[in-house]
Amino acid sequence: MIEAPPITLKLDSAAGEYQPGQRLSGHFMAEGAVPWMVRSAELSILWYTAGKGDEDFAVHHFERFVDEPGRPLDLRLPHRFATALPASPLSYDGRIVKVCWCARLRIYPQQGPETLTEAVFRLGDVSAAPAEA
Amino acid sequence: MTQSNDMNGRFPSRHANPFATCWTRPGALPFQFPTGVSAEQLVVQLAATNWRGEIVGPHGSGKSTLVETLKPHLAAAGRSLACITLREGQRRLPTDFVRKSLASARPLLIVDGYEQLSWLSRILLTWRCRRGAAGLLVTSHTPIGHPLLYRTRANLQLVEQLVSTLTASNSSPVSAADVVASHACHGSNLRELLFALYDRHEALTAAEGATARTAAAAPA
Repeated sequence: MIEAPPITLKLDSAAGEYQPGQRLSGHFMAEGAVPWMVRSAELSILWYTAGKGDEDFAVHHFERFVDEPGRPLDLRLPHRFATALPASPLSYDGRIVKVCWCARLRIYPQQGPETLTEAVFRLGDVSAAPAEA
Repeated sequence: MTQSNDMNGRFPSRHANPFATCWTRPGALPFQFPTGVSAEQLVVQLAATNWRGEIVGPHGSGKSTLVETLKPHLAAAGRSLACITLREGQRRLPTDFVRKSLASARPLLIVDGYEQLSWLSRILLTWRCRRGAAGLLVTSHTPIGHPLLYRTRANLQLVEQLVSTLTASNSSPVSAADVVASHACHGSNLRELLFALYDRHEALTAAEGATARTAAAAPA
């Protein structure tokens, strides 16, 4: 089986902290000297809930990069993405439920299983739930 | 395979708690078979009883997880799966569920929470499956008259195995003693047990964070 090379998914803001309406940008690329043969790569900016109960999620931004005749998808080159972030939902680090934002990159290689890479970030500055006394 | 950036510890993320629903719901966590039992073996056993069987076990003991684990193996055996999960008090199957299910080739109906159905609905379903040459796999808290395929139980060894699997990729300050205490409290109800460990993880990480903030604020 062909092993996936290390994948870089980076947001331009090193702090990873954003405010509603702010522009989020970044890039992704695969390392290695030999091109990795992939069918497509899907980049999403999304939020989801995580916790004890039912889960929810929504995709805010989606881009698909496809390997096509005449336009080969070479992931050794940096692929950039950008979007303006929405007003809500804001990130929240609760004890029962957390609202989480991330950039998620799903790569479908020509051979082998798909890979998933995430870069988490925070939208807004809602305080975390306080510790119990 | 999932790779993630180094902001996971700082920002809300599903990786923050290994006992969150996304890691523990049926299908996310494979059923932990005891030694000598496998999904393939259960499919062979179900085929031998003319694709009729029941998975029996107490609330939260892993019946739905076992069903999710069996599904790809049942499909690979050539069965067309039609699945439904019944909720508390759902005494009848939705209109058309059985008719549409029986229209497919080599159907196998899977009813999770079969004991919710009324006596009459069960009789009718069993009869229609037999008449339509369809298989029927059900889960129930108590035996209800179909051939027993598997009885789910959650002993301490299984719980420890599950916790070990869950914390392999997302670490937790939850200790072995916490796991033993949760098992003593919740018995074989894995769902409640994992919720309790979720809460314990949240309490411990919040306390760790408070201690770290106090130490950082203290004068040198």
